[in-house]
Amino acid sequence: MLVLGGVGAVLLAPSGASEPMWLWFAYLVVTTLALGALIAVQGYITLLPLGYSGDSHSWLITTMAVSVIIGAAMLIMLGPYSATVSSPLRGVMLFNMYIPASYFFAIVLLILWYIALRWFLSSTLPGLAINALSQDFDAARAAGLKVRRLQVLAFGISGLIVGSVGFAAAPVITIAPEAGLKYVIYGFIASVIGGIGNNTGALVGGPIVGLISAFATFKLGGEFESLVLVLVLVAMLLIRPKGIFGATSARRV
Amino acid sequence: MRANHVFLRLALLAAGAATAFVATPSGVDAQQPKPPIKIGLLMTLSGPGAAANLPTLMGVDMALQEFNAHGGIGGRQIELVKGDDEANPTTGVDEAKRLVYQERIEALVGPVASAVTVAILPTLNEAKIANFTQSGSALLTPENGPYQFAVIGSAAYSGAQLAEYAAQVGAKRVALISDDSAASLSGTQEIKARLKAHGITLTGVQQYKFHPTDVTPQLLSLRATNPEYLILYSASQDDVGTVQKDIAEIGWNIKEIGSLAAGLAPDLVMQKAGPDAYKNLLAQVVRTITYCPKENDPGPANMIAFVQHAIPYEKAHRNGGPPITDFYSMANGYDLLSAIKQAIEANGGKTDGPTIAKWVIEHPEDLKLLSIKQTKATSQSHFMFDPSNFVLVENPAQRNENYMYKRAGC
Repeated sequence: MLVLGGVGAVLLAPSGASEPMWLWFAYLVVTTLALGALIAVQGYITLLPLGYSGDSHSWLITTMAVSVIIGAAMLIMLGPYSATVSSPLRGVMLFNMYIPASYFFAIVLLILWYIALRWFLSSTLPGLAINALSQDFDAARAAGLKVRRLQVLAFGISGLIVGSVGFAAAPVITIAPEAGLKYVIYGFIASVIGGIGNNTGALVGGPIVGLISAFATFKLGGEFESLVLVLVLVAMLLIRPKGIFGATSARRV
Repeated sequence: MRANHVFLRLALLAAGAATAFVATPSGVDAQQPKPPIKIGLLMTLSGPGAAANLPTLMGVDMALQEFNAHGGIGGRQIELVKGDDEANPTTGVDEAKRLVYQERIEALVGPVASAVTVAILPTLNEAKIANFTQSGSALLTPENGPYQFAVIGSAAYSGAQLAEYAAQVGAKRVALISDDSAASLSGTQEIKARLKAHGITLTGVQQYKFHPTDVTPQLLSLRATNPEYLILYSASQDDVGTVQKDIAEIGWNIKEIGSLAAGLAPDLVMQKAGPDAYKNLLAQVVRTITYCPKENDPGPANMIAFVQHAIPYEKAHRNGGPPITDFYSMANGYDLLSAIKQAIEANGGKTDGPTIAKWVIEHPEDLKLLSIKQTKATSQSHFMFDPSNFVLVENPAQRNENYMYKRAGC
């Protein structure tokens, strides 16, 4: 889906620098909403065969499956090419290096989405209901919450986040049919390290994975990048299976 | 009503079959058209490296259309059966087995990805299938693949040239960056050996995976070793573009020597890295797609004619993708099928691997190809290029009207 956000940039604003800034933002909003709607539909289709079972692992498999399907669709529609997009703003020189503006866009979006989600999940009724659902599916259902609607809403919100970041970071991510699966795997490692189901964990897990990967490449060589990341994942699962911010909690029965 | 329709169809079919039976006199086999010849094509059609395979694929398709319009192979129309190896050896073996045992192909063109080519050798050897490939790994020896020939040179030859150039210009400190493909592994092994033999210090070695998003950590690590030259050994033009983009972003002003992928499709490299991609990058190409005004050499006439023929073909078959201007790889793809055609026709229609391999080795002068002036395959090496086929060009972005590159020093 991140790659699909990038495809949005390829289709709407491939030469970002030549677009007026307001138009680029308009395209960002369009792509964000489109991805939100698409993932909500995907979520609905994914959840349909599960009925109202509380199985929380199927999303992992379906996320991988959807990633493969999107890759195949991109291959058919766009060919095997790796697409390129230019940024609407020039980057800056930092430590004698040129840093593309897209990295800053991604960081700003990360913080904005984190704050927005925190507010939504703690201060609004649908947000609190989603929170309740994530803590105890059966109890939430027994309490009369519209489980399916809330689940689809959660899928839609994830679409908004990933669509906006994919669009904004398009100049620095790989937009190719086979790229999606790589981001799914790295995203999974980041979630496990941060703590699955914890937004603060996701906020911290992503940069940790990025830094470990860059440091391992710099010090040991590019061939050790994946090995080091998988070792960190295994170590985390052995020492703290719930991740850095994941809390082990007893379920009240 | 529906039952009547079914009956009518059955009656018509029966009548048709009876007419055909009556109309066919016995003993007229000689008048029958010859059965088609199934040729397999195994390449990366999806996944990393698929875009880089498109020119080769287009060359094979061009040859297919042309040969079939002129009688196919020995009077048999060619039926090309495609398989997608996804640049994955496991998938490649599955696809090779499908092509050999299910589709019953009589010869195979491709793969390009060396890891796949090496992996499918046992399947091809067992079925004695002749195979013409574009892979360059040094593991492709006559012992490992007795019926397999590479219509290019070994990656080791290519690597040797890059290292020899570094020695020639008096480099004392060289860094090396490459992808993790099997061909690049062969190329970089040779580079390391040659640099060592010349007493050149290899300051750092870095690797990246196919289609990387960012190679900045690798480049920063190499920059810290303070080399005079950077050798870039890559199997994908996209990746060359990523490396060049990141070199510019970290503000590294380093002289570079690039392998074949850096030279053959400059448009793809510049699409990613911008017009300055070749500011410091000297790249490798193949001699048959070059010219030299100093030596009064306009380039091979047959290659120029091919390029002029291929330009409109490429435009008509682009399928909405970016323009393909890698006419060398297109000619090389054409040669893959052409080599099979020439070998089978020269042997009276025999398609078995041992017969084809014997002929290719014993009659190099009879095998006329576009991308190679004279094939050099022997019983010791099944690579059709020798090292002299690789040449360096100063600015691959500047090609003449025939898409020929000016050789360095010309």
